[in-house]
Amino acid sequence: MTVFKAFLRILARNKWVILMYSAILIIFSVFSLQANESTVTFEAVKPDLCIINHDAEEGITKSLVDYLSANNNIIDLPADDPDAISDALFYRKINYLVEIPAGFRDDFLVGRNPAITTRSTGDYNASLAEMNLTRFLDVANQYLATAASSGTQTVDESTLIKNLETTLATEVDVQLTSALDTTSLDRAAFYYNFMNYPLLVGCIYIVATVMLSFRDEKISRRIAMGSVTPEHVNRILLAANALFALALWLSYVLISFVIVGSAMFSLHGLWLILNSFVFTLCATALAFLIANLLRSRNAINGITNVVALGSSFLCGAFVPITWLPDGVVAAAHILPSYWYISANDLITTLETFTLDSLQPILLHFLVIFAFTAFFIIVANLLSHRRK
Amino acid sequence: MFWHNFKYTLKVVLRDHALIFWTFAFPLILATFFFLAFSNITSSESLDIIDLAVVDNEAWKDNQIFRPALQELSNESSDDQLFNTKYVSRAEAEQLLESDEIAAYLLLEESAQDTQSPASPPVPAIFASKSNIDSTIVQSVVESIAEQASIITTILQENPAALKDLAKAEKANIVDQSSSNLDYVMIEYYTLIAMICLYGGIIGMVAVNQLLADMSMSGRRIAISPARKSTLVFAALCASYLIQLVAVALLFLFLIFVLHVDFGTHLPLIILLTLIGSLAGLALGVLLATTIKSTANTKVGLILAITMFGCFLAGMMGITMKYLVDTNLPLLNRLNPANLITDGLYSLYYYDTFDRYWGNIITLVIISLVMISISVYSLRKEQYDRL
Repeated sequence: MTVFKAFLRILARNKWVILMYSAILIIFSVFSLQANESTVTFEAVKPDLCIINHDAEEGITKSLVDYLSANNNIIDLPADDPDAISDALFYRKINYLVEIPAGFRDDFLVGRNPAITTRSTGDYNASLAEMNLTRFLDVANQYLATAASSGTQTVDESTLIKNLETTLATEVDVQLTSALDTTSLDRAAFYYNFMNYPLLVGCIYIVATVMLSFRDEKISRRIAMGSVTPEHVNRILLAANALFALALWLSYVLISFVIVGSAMFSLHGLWLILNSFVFTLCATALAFLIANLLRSRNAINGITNVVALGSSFLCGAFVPITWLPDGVVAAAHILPSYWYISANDLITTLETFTLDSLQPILLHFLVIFAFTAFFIIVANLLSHRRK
Repeated sequence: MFWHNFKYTLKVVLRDHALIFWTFAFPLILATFFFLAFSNITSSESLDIIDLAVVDNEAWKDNQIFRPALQELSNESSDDQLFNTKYVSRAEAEQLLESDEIAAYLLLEESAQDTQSPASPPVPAIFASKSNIDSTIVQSVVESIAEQASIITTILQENPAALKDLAKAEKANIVDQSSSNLDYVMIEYYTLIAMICLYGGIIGMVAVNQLLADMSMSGRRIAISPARKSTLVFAALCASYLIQLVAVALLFLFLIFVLHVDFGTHLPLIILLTLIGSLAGLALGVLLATTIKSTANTKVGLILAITMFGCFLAGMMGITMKYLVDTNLPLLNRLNPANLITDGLYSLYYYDTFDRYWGNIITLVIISLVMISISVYSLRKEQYDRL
């Protein structure tokens, strides 16, 4: 009991570390997860666009502005602040900027084909925005070319606009074949992937601090001399550490219900929880291994951060696996976090839960178990060698 | 006395392994992690060629509008290739969609050919698995092709003689004025520079702690000795500043030559910013060392927490944070040393003018002077013999 109370006291003294990393998890999950409406019908992606219109909003110019507004998400920026616009582009607040010159309407109707200035972030949303703009201008030019030859002196703008808008209203439906609510599932995946970081930090930091405290020369000699056997002490420490890891895991799971919401009350949620449980066992085993390798208390902070940050960066906790370079992904296979995160991504894209479809996930579990066994064996070998 | 203490401070600091780890090794490790995780992001952002399937039925083979248009867009030797198209049966298409090998598939209904009047040609149905950029682009392209057919129909109805002028239509005149330096991952590296400048404060703190009577034994001896405190403190600060600069220089060399991070072309201004940034970090460390009355560990913890929080606001854990603070709480980021350094580097990279850069430099200098003045005042008032 004394051992357990000592464990709790060490835990209490280090509680700020745990709380800080848990706070980071919560802040990031809340921040990064957009409050999107989850839909199961098709919704076209709308790039973020800013329009700076130097012309009067009438006629063909108005038609252009209306068309862009309907197909994009319009963000208003002050036209006289070039720095604000540059920043918005850089930070991806907008993907595309359209600047309509003064006199656009008049120049266009006469056939001068005035230039529209744009600035782009070069990403796929910007490509879509540019496609939309090009589409409008191409169709408008085609109707202009054919209208000009009808023999009249000036082009009939209202007919042009009418034809233009009718043509551009062509709609082709997209049917979604999947009934998955991908928005909420993506949120759940992000939370559980990011959880890799605070879980590893919490486990490694506490286990290492406790084990090194008990390995302190004076204390270990007193234990050796006392009536309680060192094996007994070790067993209680093991149980205490495992209990702490489980408590940490459980609190993160409970927080996920609050942050992710109703998507967790499904088979997807269940398997995500199961996956995180399997990984927590692995993280605890890894923590024991590291505790056996460390020699001084000063190094704990450094090693914890390197291991936790390293596996989080390289295995896709912060940046999704699909965005990591291929070489990094290949190398990440030697880290248990990769299998945990990869399983999370698989789970959130499953449509049905049959033995067939669950097979890859179960394989991932097997690999994580293998890591766990490996860590425990090596940790035991090291501690026996030390004796 | 000056050189004696200078040398002595160097020895004391360089022997502190944990300190050397945090100021020399950790930034290099973190930079490597950033590089491994982020190097692919900006290329993942741009539009890839989309995998598409078309149900190769009789209706499709006979179609004169969509089939040739799509073939052109799937032409591998073309620079404008948008799609990678497979021509398969319906069942195969469904299979490919479910296994996520294609973004969408097109199906032209057999019966559509007979029932549709020539005025409105048949349009293929689109099947996709989720509402994302790929399926949106497929929809946009199919609509464009349908629009071209509709234009011809409209012209035939209104003014058949004008059809020959269609070929004379101008193409959309879009002028792209985007900046070339748009890699927003650079901000992460800039916040790393800011972090190492401010972490250097810990070196200053450790050095000054040696001179404070309430922090160390040597401090007590110095307090009763006739040596001038100002000389000793100045020597300690110079030694700390030197070590800090070496650490920052190492990081810069690593970033530029090994990771090929782009800092723009104004190297002397970057060096100036780093020198002043390090001075600000040093000033912060000394301020906390002299004004906070607590154990050494708490002071170090405080500097780490303040630096981390400052870097968080400056965008280290997600650049959206920097943008949010810049637009909503600009005063906070104008006073945050981490942000001043990050922003200074960002403005050298992205902007053509230097106003913002000089603004950051001047604010940093003022903040450093204020912090140093407060520290000097606090040190002068130290008296330990009042009981």
